Amino acid sequence: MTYFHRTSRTTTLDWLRGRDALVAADLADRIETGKFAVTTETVGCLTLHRFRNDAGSGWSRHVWSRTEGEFVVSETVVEDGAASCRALSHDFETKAQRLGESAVIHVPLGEMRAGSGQFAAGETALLPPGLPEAIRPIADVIQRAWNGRDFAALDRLWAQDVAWTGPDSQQGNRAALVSWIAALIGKFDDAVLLFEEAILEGDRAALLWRLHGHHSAEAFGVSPAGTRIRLIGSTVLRLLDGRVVEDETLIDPLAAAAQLRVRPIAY
Amino acid sequence: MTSRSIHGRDIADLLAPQGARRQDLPGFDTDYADIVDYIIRCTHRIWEQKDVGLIATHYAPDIVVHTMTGPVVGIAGVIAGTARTLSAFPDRTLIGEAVIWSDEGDGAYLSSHRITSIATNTGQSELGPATGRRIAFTTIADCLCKANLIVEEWLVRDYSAMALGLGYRPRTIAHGQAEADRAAGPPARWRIEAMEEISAVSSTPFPNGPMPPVTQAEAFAHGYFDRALNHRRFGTVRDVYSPAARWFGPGGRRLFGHGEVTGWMTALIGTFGDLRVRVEHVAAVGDEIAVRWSAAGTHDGGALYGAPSGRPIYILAVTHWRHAHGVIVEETTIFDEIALLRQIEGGL
Repeated sequence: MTYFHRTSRTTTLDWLRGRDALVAADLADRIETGKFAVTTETVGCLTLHRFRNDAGSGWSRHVWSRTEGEFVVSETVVEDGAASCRALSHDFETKAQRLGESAVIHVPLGEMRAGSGQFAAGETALLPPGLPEAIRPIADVIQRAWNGRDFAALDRLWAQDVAWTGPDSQQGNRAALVSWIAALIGKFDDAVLLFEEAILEGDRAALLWRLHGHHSAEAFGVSPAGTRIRLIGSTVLRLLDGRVVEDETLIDPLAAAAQLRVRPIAY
Repeated sequence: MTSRSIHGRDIADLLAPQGARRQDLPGFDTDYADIVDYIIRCTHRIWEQKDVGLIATHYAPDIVVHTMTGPVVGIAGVIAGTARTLSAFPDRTLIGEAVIWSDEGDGAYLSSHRITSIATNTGQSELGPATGRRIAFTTIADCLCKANLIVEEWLVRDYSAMALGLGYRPRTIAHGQAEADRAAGPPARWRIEAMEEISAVSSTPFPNGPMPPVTQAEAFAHGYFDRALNHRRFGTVRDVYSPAARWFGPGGRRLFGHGEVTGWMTALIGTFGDLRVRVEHVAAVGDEIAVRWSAAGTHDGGALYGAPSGRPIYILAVTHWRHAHGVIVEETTIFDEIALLRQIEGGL
């Protein structure tokens, strides 16, 4: 795949525009990650990158692409910034502070559950038109677990011994996944998950989503101040006999920590 | 014969010789194949190849360029402004993201050209001293083109994103400009007349029926702005936007989904409680729609731009939509927030 002159890249904190900017960013990335072996895997328009060094430490990056012909016109990138900091020997807090200070973060606008009020956590996921309808059972379970706080809903599709990998290289089974979701929502107690994109290909399913919420409890070393946090999330699943047996879910903890450390810009 | 879209085409293809004419372009130079080619190629020649003098052969002598800081009349002003910007940002590249055009009849075309500029600030700009920073900002130029000439232009640029990228506070810049305006004399006549024109537009009956489909661009655009903004039916956002809509706006704001897009509309009216909006032009090509609109109101709320000043304001904006599956999936709305703050600070 090749970039257009007008290709853009969205990350949780940044918005790069134009081929020159992307090429420059890719070069910087290549210099920084050059010592790591990279494996890639493709699921539809999603490419999974896994960086590993000789010691076995590393991190994952999910790249969702929209294409026009042979060109990529836009990318959405979700990376495990906590694991990459550790693997690259960066100080997490220092990097989060620097990222936050270089980002232009505006005051938040609007609510997260527009127009659905008390009905936002219903049984049915609000899916953008055009997503494959076969993704609905999975999306509905995610809707119940994340937006309805009904973690038992995962039992419907997620195997008890699902191989779950989460941010910061966390691993475990369904119980570990539930613990992670609960802990995250516990830090942002009004958090809402919004679906953006979905793929079904063979035994794989993948979802691109957003998580918006307000900082309500100690998180990433920062005391709660009501700051709105806006995260991009990516989940890729493997299905066997209708059950989820593998789940890799990414958000960028570094981008989350960065947002908690800065105030919105002053006009 | 029609124009070839930029969809699926890289700049190398767009700027390669285009061969025979694809569209009826009476009076245009023979090397322009269609209106998209004209816009992309002459922008590259004038701005990137620095052949600023070509403005003389591509702009009408009596050109009027409408901006939120007032009209610029005549090509001398266009050439001088171009040179000033190039001296402040000499390596500016202009990445054409969309050219949404309409046939205006009699050989004339309206092109709504959305540009992402990447530029390094090595010289004094209208925003302040050189900073050495490289910034990205969006401009939309609505150009009425006839016989190889741009005869009228409506230009909106995201100046607040430029200021923020350069490390300036938009309000500080606007405050200084407003002080200069007040020292220069009474309020600008053009702005008062523009606001009066908008306010004079009659209210429409309360819109209760269904929205026209997004594929009927003209009716959809008029219906949406009237319903959502003039009649404050913000809930229309849920009907016409994807739940995963991406929204890009002034100051480099990036919003996502129904909640935040609705929040922008609410905040706009929460800032200018009596705001009236007038749709001025609609163009549509394929899955893209361009809407030029203007608005007038009173700064009587503090939602977006600080404590209410009670001052009247005028907005000139262009919105670009991309739609899919019957809903808007992406929006870019650009207006000059520094010019808006300048009015709030008592200028123009």
